[in-house]
Amino acid sequence: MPDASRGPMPDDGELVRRAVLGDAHVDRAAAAATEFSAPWQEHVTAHAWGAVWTRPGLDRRTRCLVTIALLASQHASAELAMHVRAAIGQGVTPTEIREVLLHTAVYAGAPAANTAFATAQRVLDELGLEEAS
Amino acid sequence: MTTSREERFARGMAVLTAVNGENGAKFIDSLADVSPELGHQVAAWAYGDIYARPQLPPRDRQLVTLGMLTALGGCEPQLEVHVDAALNVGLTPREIVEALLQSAVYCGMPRALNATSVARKVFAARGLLPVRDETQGD
Repeated sequence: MPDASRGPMPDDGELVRRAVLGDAHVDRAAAAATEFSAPWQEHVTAHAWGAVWTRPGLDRRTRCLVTIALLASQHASAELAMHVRAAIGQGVTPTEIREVLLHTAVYAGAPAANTAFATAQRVLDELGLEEAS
Repeated sequence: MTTSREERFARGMAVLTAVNGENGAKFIDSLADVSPELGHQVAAWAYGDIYARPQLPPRDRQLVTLGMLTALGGCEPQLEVHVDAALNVGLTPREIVEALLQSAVYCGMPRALNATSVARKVFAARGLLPVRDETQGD
């Protein structure tokens, strides 16, 4: 965990991104980067991860839950799959993920929740996790 | 488990009142002359069936609600209610603005800015400005 007292540093983004998304994902993204897309990889690491996820104001588990809600409400399925996987890695339970998605139905409507449930179920199946109780 | 329409409504009103105080009942009443059924469903479905579920605590429910309302855009009236509710369930202004900052990454700056303006309005009304950010130097 980066030292919050000194504020975010450039390398913190890489550390937090790897801690949350996993080395396999980050290595894959880095390997797939081209001359065209490399600036995006650097940008997302420095800004999304370095400037926001490193901040002390909310713990990582809570950031995972809020991010899942943000993505589900926008029908961002590919990103949602990545963040469901990340949330499990951060200790969020399938039950908590299910609750966030049930909650999504109220605000973003049934289609958003339906799509998000299908995406989350696929990830939980891939991870071999039992159904939420 | 089957629960009657009246029981779901009563359970929802109890949760709504616990989170939003007397403004909850006022809001449901405000729909009485145009769509009482929508008012019923806000209480019975959103609060009675969803917010009442114990698997996610009230503070997490308010944070994910703030995230969704921010991402959807155009939900400023609802954001005002839920920033107020978030404070009522024990979230700090710092945690609320942090969730809105997190939102900027996933739905863009304009929606995060609009949501943060609503938060400022609610914080001002409750005498909670300025919000301290300990990551900033003196």
